[in-house]
Amino acid sequence: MIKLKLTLYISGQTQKSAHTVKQLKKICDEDSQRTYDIEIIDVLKNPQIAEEKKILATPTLVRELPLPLCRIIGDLSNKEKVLWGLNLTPIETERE
Amino acid sequence: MKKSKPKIFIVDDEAIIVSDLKCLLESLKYNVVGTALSSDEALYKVREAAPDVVLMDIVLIGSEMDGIEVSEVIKKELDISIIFLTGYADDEFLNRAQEVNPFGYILKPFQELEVKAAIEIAFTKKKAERKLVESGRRYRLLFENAPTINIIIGNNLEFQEVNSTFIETFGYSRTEIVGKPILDFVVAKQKQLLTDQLNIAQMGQFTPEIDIDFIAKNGMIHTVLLAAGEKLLYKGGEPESVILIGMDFTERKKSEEDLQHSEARLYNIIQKNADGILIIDKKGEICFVNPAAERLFGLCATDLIGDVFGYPAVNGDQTEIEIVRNENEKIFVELQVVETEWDGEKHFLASLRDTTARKAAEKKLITAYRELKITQEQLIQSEKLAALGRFASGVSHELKNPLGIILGGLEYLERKITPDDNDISITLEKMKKTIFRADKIIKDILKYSKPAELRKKKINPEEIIEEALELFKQKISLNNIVLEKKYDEQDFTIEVDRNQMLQVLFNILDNAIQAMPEGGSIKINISKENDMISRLIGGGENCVIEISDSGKGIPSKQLDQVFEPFFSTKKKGAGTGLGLAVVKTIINNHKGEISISSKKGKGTKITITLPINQRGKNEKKDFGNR
Ligand SMILES: Nc1ncnc2c1ncn2[C@@H]1O[C@H](COP(=O)(O)OP(=O)(O)OP(=O)(O)O)[C@@H](O)[C@H]1O
Ligand SMILES: [Mg+2]
Repeated sequence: MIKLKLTLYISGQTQKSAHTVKQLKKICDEDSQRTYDIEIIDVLKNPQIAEEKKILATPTLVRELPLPLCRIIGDLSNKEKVLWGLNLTPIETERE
Repeated sequence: MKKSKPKIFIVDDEAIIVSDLKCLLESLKYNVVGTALSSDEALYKVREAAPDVVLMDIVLIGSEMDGIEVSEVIKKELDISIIFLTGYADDEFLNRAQEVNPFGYILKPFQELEVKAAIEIAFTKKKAERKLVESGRRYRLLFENAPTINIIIGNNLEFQEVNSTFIETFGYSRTEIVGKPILDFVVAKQKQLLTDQLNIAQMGQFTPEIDIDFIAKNGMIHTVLLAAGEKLLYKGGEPESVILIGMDFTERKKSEEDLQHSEARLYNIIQKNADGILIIDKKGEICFVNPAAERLFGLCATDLIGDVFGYPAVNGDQTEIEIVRNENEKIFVELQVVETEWDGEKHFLASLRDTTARKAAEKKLITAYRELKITQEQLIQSEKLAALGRFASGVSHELKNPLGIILGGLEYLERKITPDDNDISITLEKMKKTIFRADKIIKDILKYSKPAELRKKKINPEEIIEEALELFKQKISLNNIVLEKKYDEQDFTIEVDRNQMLQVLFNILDNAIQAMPEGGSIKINISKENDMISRLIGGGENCVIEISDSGKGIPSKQLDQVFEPFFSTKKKGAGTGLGLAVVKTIINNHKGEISISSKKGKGTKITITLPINQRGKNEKKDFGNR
């Protein structure tokens, strides 16, 4: 089973942030092919991380591992697009 | 040259000379095609005979014109070579004869050899000239009919000749152009450039092609790619001319310019757009940023380009993102994404609109709405209270009489009992106290619900406060309370009902003392509110009375209830909860305002604002007992 490490950057513990987290959890839960290790970083609390990682806006979802690094900006309501943006096929394993 | 003998025509006023000459020429095998004795005859016959050479007597006695004049006409019309016959070399005649550019002179009396030589030279010259004319004609044709704009300019940069393309292009006729300086037809800023180029060309040096904007007759500007040809050496002695060959590139240039223009315009629109614009590639990397986007991110384009913004997993075409510039600055941005082509590849065009202000406005609106609802509720509440008050006052009135009767009865009984009946006496005393309390409640209710008519008087605020304190003196010292007073110099009075104002102060002081069972301090300040805005809007000045204590304070959640009637935290029987309600009613009836601020455990401050009635320095009374 492939294990992915994702980081979600949000700004502030707002309703919107909570919604984004929920959306991400849903996508991960529905995926029986992979397991996900999700880290959530609030850029308001960790501005130095955001700067280091050059997070320009939130919500940003980053696929950290396995490489390649991928980034998604905006809401995560469209599962297909999210997976596409993470360089993952909806079924089976990695593209490439 | 030998194939055809030149045809010769002889003009002389002396018939003998004519026939002599004719004989001589014929003996030399020349073909004499005609003779004439006068100018008229000569002009008439020469036209018919079409000779190659005319031997012309300079002086034609008895004719209207002399030989030179006739020659001028002939040359002009027929392009025939002239050899003058002359008996003597008169300078004046010779000078005039030179104008016709004759091929030679034969001096009378004629010598055979001389005649022959003169004619031969003339004929050869003529042939050469013919050839020249022929090539010139060909050249002319080319010059004239070429699709290029052809111009010959003279020494002074004036138009000498232009071709039909020139005329078609610019719409001038030849007479409007020829002789005029070329610079008159060129846009101002290019005059120098063209002059320089032409000067170089005139020196016979190579010049590159240049774009020159010519002004057409209709005012339109034509851009002509102009090449200066080699200088032309014209007919020996004439000034040097330069041929210019041009192509009209107006159309080409215009469309090129249009394209550049519209591109520049689009770029300008993007640069000036209030929305941020990003072009991002499939992987989310930024390829282009406009200034508005730079401003949104607080970063310049060079920092942003190449950074990964992220693949826009936008559902539909719009989403909301936040940009955090620093801990306290979060911008809300509406992100809109469309696919686009960039450098021939699929990219995303993301436009970012700052909605922070809009959001803030929305929030404000919601707060304002909420506040409105609250005041509305308060209005309803106070309306209810008023109704309650009206009801209460009715009830109070009804209660007053029975209470009076009961009190009267009690006093009667008091008088009737013997001193031994201690128990009864105590009971009666309790009953009386209870009745007084009931009476006080009734009075308060009445005051609250139906404010007594105001009997206003102009008073110095200090005066009334001192009066109240005088009455509280004992209570204050008994409770270990220190009094601090700070009265600003008062050059004003307030107009109040003295009794009601005392009521206000009693209630406030009462509360303060009750809040400090272990003692403390009461501070009283009087000042004039120097509020420029309130003065500007015509509200006049206000007197501010602040009464603060160092008591136990009021929990913040109770703070907005203290003015409500029947709100009390005091032990049953100790407080009715009407004190501050009455205070507020009275102050409001005086067109004043009252507010309370408090910190639990620290103390409470009551602030009363009353309109200053008028300046009353003269009314100030000395109240020594501060
Ligand atoms: N100076 C103060 N310090 C602390 N609490 C106060 C002060 N003034 C008013 N309060 C609070 O506000 C409540 C309402 O005061 P208010 O004067 O209206 O009624 P009361 O004092 O309880 O009764 P009453 O004045 O009718 O005898 C009080 O019960 C008390 O809890
Ligand atoms: Mg009270």
